[in-house]
Amino acid sequence: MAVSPKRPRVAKEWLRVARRSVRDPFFLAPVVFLLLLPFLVGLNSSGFLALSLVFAAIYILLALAWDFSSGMTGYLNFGIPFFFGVGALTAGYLSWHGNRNILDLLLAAFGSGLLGGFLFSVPTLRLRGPYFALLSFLLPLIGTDFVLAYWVPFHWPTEGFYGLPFLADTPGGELLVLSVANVIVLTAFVLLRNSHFGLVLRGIRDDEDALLSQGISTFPYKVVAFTLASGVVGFAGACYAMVNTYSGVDAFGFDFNLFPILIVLIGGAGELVGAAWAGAIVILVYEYFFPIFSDLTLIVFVLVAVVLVLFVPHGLVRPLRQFVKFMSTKEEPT
Amino acid sequence: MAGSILAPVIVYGTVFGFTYVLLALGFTLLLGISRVLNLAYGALYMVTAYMIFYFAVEMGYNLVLSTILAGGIAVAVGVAVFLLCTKFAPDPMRFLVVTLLVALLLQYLFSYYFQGQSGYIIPGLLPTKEILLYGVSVSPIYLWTAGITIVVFVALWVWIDWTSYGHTVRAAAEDPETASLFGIRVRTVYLVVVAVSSAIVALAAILIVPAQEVTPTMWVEPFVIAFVVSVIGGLEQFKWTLPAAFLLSFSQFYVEFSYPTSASLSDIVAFLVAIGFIIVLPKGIGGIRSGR
Repeated sequence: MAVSPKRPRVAKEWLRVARRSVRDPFFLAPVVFLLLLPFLVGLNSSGFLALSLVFAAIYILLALAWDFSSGMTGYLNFGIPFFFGVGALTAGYLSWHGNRNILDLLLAAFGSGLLGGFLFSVPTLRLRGPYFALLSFLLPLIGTDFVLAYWVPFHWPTEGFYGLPFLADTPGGELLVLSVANVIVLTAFVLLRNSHFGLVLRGIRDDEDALLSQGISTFPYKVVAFTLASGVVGFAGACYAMVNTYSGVDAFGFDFNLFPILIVLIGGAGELVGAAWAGAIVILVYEYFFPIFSDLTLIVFVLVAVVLVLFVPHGLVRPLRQFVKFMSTKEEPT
Repeated sequence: MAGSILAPVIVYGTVFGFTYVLLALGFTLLLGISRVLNLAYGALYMVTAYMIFYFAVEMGYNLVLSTILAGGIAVAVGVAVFLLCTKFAPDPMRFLVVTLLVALLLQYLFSYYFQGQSGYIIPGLLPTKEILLYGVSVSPIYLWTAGITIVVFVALWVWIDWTSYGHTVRAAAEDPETASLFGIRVRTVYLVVVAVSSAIVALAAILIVPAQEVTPTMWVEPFVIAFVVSVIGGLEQFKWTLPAAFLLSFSQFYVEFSYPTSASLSDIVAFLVAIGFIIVLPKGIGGIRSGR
C-alpha cells in the first residue's frame, strides 16, 4: 500500500504540537485539577459543593466553546443560548420518545449543535464586520419563538420535556462525567490552538486583512471553529438538561450568554486554560452569594465584567503567564 | 393574499412601519456617522420608560416634567456610555461587549429596584382610546407616532443634508482625520450625534411605551428592530430606514396573519429577512442605488 509522503509530516507536526502543549504548566495544571476534583469532592457526594461544581463544569464547557470561537477569532458570538437550547431540547425530545441511553442523547445533542452552528455560520461568516455578532444575538430569541409557536402543533408537552435520565447517579458522579468532558474539550481546543489551525484563528483576530493578502481564505477556518464550538455548547445543553432531568424553552435564556463571556473576560480571551480556573471560581462565588443577595449578585457580576473589559482587557492569565516567565528567566551575569 | 387579511396587513404594516422607522433612525444615524455599534441603544428605550414610571407614578411628578426628565436621563446615559467606551474600549469588538454588558446591567438594576419581571403601565401624553381604520382597530398612539416620525425624519434629513453643521457631521463621518485637519472637532461632532440618536430612541419610548408594558427585558425588541431595519437599509445609511422599515413590518404582519400560531413569529421573520439580505444584498437597499 502506498503511503502518502505527507502523512509522516502531519504526524510529526501534531506530535510537536502535543509536546509543546504538555510542557505548558498552565495547561497541565487545570487538566490535573479537573481530573482530581470529583475524587476530592467524593464520587458519592450530593452536597452543595458537588452540585455547584456540576454547574461550574457546565459553564466551563460553554466558556471554552466561546473562547475557542470568539476569543480566538474576535468574532463575537451571542448565540450561545440558542445552541445550548438546541442541545437541551434534542436530548429532551429523544428521551420523550423513549431513548434513555445517555451516550445517545449526548451525541445527538453534540450533532444538533454542530449542524446548527454550521447552518448559521455559513451565511453569516461570509461577511466581515458586525453581522455575525448581531445576527447571533437574534438566535436565542428566534429559538424561543419557534418552540413556543410550534410546541403545541407538534404535540410536544407545553411545559417542556420532563423525566430525562440523570447524567449519573449522584452529583459527584455527574461531576466526574463533566470533568472528563471538560478535559477532552480543553485538550482538543489547546491542541488546535497550538497548531497551524489555531495560528490562523489568532491571525483572524489580529489582522484578517494580512491573512487574506497572503492568499489564506479565512472563511473555512471561521466556519470550522464556530461549528465545533456550537457542538460543544449543544453537548453542554444536554448535560444541563440531564442534570435537571428537564429541558424547556428556558434553555434559550439570554443569561446563558453572560457567564461564559464573564468567565472568558476574567480568564483572558483566547487563553482557553483561563476559562477552566475562572469558570470554577465565578460559578462557585455566584452559587454561594445568589441565595443571599439574589439579583444584586448579578448586578455586581456585570459591573465586574464591565470593569474587566475596560481596564483589564487581556484577563488575568496572560499577566500571570508573563510574571511566571519573568521570574523563571535567569539573569545573565554582567 | 386573502381579502380578510389584506386590510389588517396594510393598516398594521403601515402604522408599525413608521414606529420601526423611529426606532431605527437613531441607531442607523449613530452607526453611519461614528461607525460604532451600540448594543445599549435598546436599553435607552427601557431607561426612558422606567424613568417615566418612576417620576410620574412613584414620585407623583407632573407627566410633562416626568417625560422631559426621563428623556434627559436617557440622553445623559447614552452620552456617558459613549464617552466611557471611546475612552477605555475604543476597538469595535470591546465597544460591542461593553455596550451589551451595560444593557444587561441596566436590565438587572431595573429588575432589582422595581422588584422582578412584572410589567407596569405608564401614563402617556397621547390619547389611548382605539379607533377604527378600514375596519381595523388601532391605537391613536401609533397614528401620532407615525406623524411625529415623518417630522423627525424630514428634520434629520434637512439637518444632515442642508445645514452647515450637517456638512460638518458628514465630513467627520467620511474622513475623521482629514476633518480634524480642517479644524473640525470630530469628538464633539460624535457626541452631538450620540445625543441626537439617544434623544430619538427616548422619543420613541415616550410615544410608544404607554401602549405597551414596562418590563426589564423590553430593551431587546427595539434593538432587534433597529438592527434588522439597518441591515435591510444598508448599515450606515439612515435615509434607507424608511423603505427598510416598511419592508420588515409588511413581511412580519403578512406572516403573522397568514400563519397564525400560538406565539409571535415576528422575530423569526426579522431574522430570516436579515439573513436573506445578508446573502443576496449585503449592502442593503442603499447598496442597490450606489451599485454595490
